[in-house]
Amino acid sequence: MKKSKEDIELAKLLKEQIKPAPENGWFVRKVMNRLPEKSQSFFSKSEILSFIICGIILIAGWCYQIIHVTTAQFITTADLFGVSAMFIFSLALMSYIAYPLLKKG
Amino acid sequence: MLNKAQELLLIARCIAADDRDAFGQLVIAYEAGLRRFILNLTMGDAALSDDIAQETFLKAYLAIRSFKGIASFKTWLYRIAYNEFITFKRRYVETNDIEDTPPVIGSDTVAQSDAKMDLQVCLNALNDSERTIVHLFYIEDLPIKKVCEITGYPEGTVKSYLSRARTKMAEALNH
Repeated sequence: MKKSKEDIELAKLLKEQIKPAPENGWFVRKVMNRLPEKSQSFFSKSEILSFIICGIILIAGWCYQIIHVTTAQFITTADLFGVSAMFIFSLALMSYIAYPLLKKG
Repeated sequence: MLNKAQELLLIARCIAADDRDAFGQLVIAYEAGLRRFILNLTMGDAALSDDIAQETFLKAYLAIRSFKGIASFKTWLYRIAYNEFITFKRRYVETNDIEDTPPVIGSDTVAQSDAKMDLQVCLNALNDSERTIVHLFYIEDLPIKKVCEITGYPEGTVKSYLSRARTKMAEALNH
């Protein structure tokens, strides 16, 4: 709906005459104080970074183990030891990540 | 005044990282206009307007994840403010067991010029819906479509209220 000439004049009059809200220097502060407590994330930034690095190492380790075991002629005790260690390490990392989440649930 | 890109960036920061600084900047950008809008709805009750404005920002913060960016942030915020005012009004009417007519909620005692008083009297002669629409259309300079989004009224109703408001204001000025 296009404004008519009268609309434009009325708008100008209202904008000039109608008073703004009185100054309240504390308003923003009051709003910010009323906001709820900031939600705490389960893990700190350094922990998240550590998980990412461990995850990358784990994936690389698993890839190496799988390729080694599938291409080798014989499976040695060292290979079994390596796979077991990878398995335990993976389980430990997943438990460490999952435990706080499960605890909250 | 924030442009659209700055506004969206601040909102993204609020959603992604619960960035209180970003939300504070949004409050600073919109508080003056919003408080004036609510002051008009409450017919000059500054304390009540500030309460409703605070509630509006609080609700906006809690619901910010639901802001889809389709409407502008201002439209979304003013919609919340209008709903807050309606909620207050309903509670006020229920508590005081009076008819649903616009009560004289309060008025400032600050001295005003005759012209300002006349215009304020004109606006006070309108009902809540008419006064809201007049403020949004004339003072906030919003197009009819945005007025519809804020008030929830269809376009025909908004135009009808505007027309009625102009007639009432003319009559009030002539008295």
